[in-house]
Amino acid sequence: MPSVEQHDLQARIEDLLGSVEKPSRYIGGETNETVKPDAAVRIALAYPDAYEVGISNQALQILYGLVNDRTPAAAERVYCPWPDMADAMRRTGVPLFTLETWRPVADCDLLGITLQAELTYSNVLELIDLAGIPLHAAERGPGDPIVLAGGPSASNPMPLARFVDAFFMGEAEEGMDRIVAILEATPDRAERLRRLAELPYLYLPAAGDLPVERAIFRDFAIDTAPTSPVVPYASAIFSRASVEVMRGCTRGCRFCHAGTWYRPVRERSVEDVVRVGLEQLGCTGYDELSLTSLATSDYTGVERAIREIKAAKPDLHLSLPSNRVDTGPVALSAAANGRQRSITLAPEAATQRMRDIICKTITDEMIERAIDAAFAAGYTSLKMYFMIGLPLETFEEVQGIADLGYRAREIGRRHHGEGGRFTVHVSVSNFVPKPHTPFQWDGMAPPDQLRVKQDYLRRALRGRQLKLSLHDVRTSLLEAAIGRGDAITGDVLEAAWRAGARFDAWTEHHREDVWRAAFGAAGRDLEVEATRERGPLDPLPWDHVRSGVSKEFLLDEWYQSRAERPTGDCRWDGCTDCGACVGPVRNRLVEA
Amino acid sequence: MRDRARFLSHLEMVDVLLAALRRAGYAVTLSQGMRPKPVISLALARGVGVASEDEHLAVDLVGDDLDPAQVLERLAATCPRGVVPLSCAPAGPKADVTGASYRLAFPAGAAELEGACAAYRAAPALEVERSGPKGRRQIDVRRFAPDPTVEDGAVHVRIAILEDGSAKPDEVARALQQCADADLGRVAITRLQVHTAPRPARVGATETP
Repeated sequence: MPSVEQHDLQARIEDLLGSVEKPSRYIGGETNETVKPDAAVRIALAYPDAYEVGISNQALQILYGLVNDRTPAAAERVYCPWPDMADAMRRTGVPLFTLETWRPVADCDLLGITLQAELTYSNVLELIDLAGIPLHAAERGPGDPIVLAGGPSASNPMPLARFVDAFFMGEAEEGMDRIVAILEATPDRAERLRRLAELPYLYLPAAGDLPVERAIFRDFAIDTAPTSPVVPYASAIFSRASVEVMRGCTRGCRFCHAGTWYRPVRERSVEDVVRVGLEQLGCTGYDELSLTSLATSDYTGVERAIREIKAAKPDLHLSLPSNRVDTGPVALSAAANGRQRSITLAPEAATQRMRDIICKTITDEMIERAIDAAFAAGYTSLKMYFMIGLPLETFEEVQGIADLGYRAREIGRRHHGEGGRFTVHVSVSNFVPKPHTPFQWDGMAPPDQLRVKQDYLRRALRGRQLKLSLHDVRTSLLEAAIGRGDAITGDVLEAAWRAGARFDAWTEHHREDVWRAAFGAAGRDLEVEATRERGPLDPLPWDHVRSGVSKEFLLDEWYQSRAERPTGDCRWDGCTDCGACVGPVRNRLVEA
Repeated sequence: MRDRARFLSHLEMVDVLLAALRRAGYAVTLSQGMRPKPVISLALARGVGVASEDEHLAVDLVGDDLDPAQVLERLAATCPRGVVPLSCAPAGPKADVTGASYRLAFPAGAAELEGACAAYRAAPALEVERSGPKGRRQIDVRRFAPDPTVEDGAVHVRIAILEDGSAKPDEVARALQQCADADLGRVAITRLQVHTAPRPARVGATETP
């Protein structure tokens, strides 16, 4: 029975929903939602972006199931209210509420926010403020929830250190039950924080920059994958069942954060993948199943998994995102889903030299073979991902992207005819250096240079059957400046948010002027921060965060990149001594 | 469709029902052509925020000899919170939607509502503004909904669908407010019934055996 205050809040929320865009973002009640109204400990799990983005995030779905199914606590969901709703909430005094019970987030024991991308950081402040929780951790008192942040971007916690009580480093499956146990054991906020600080994978800024270790979910391979995810309403960006078949990737691409942060490789058994996939389809009503991982074609059980799933559900739309560029994976995708007409390949760089620099160990021949195999399999839309602005890039590399685009068209025409109905879609993003990668010491390319290269590609790559898309330089610049930021970046963040920055990843809401002014007010320059190069001996703001992969390994990889030498994959080419494997924690493959 | 589920849009609702049918173990027939779509229709799109006691879903399920009672039972188990299937029957002859009845619940008292309804009924025409993608235009709601009455403290009104269109229940509510002496307050709308009539045979159409 809701209290009078709750009833009043619910009536006020209903009043707001009549006048905002897409009210289904705020109503909850989806299939597989869990409501535990009487739980003693309540955790609000927040994704700092709109419902349609947040509900599609697999990590938060995993955590939601984990807390609700395996602990006595209740996990309830929160997404960042769209500006129209946020403004209406402020105007009418409605605090941020959870979807499940429409109760205030401020009444929860813990507000857990997942950090998947730097461009959501202004929304982190927006969430805290809308909840009515003091913005700065130092100003919070006994009645306030603990604000905990996790997710891959937490690996450099410094830009948000002032606003977050504790950061979870690494894979939350490993420690969530211990956090719940601490919340259950004592209602005292200070005591809770003191006990949380004892966990090796939690970083509490108030306790100083003590070393903190990344948690690795040791039982990933043997633990069962989540079977009943919440089914979003129609507006979600992804609406499909998905089973994470493998965690980690040791290909060693030197720009890739996930390639460091999720080591070592752990594969789920084929039996588990098939069982969970079919169970998920049954309890969600989806007609599509995705086998997810950082590179699903590397999953050693992939062929068997596809075969067994297709045997059980012949008409299923089965998708394999993130595949290696080669004929085998293209054939796998075609086998998995005969109806799909588009395929994505990510060579990342178009010349052999650049692929050696970034350690993308594929050859021109493999790329051409993959393109050929894709068109031969009947695909009519080929999407290829590239990056520009990578370290040591010359104009040859940019020209190479255009050349490869034309080459792909030529191959396409061979299969579909000169005027055939097919598209080669060349998508080019801007390299953004990330912490904990061999390129963490490099700067982003100057924006003017990137724009010249983009203009060149626009002129060079045009014509029938060709499509080019370029990533906005402004958002890449901001991502780079925040991603490798320090505590002062927190000042910038706060100033920008106070001046109206939110939903920075959404073009219609991106406010470059606001961010430039905020950097200026902190005595900094957006471009200088984004393009800053650091020396191997310079202290890095995230030095106290131990990913498990040693700094020496990353530095050695940086030197190898300057020598234009790729490094092998430890799954097949021998140990590279990166440091991620300790004791029982090591690569675990289904079919070695 | 009750509680918070009323904030689902028409298209979201169709999607929710398709997923519920799949969870219940039913496959929906796909249309022919280049881009096959499930053969499903939810009659008379409902405005976002309008609750409903009567929705008509027509869907072509794969399979022979499906038991309507079992479909209903299974669907009831798989529909999300606030979506309650009430009955299920094999599709009959085609019917056209001719209108719908609504309850417009205002915070105002019965006397004020009676006054507003009387003034509404007495007015020769009642125009409200409708804004849409094509711009703004005036709608005479009285043509479509001539006879609002007060029952159990709320306004009940039947809105007809005519050849040149219809009025929306929130437009009728606005027109009632125009006729009222005082502020009636924020309206809560519930669709009570969707009215249908057998589709007349087309002139010249021949019956196929």
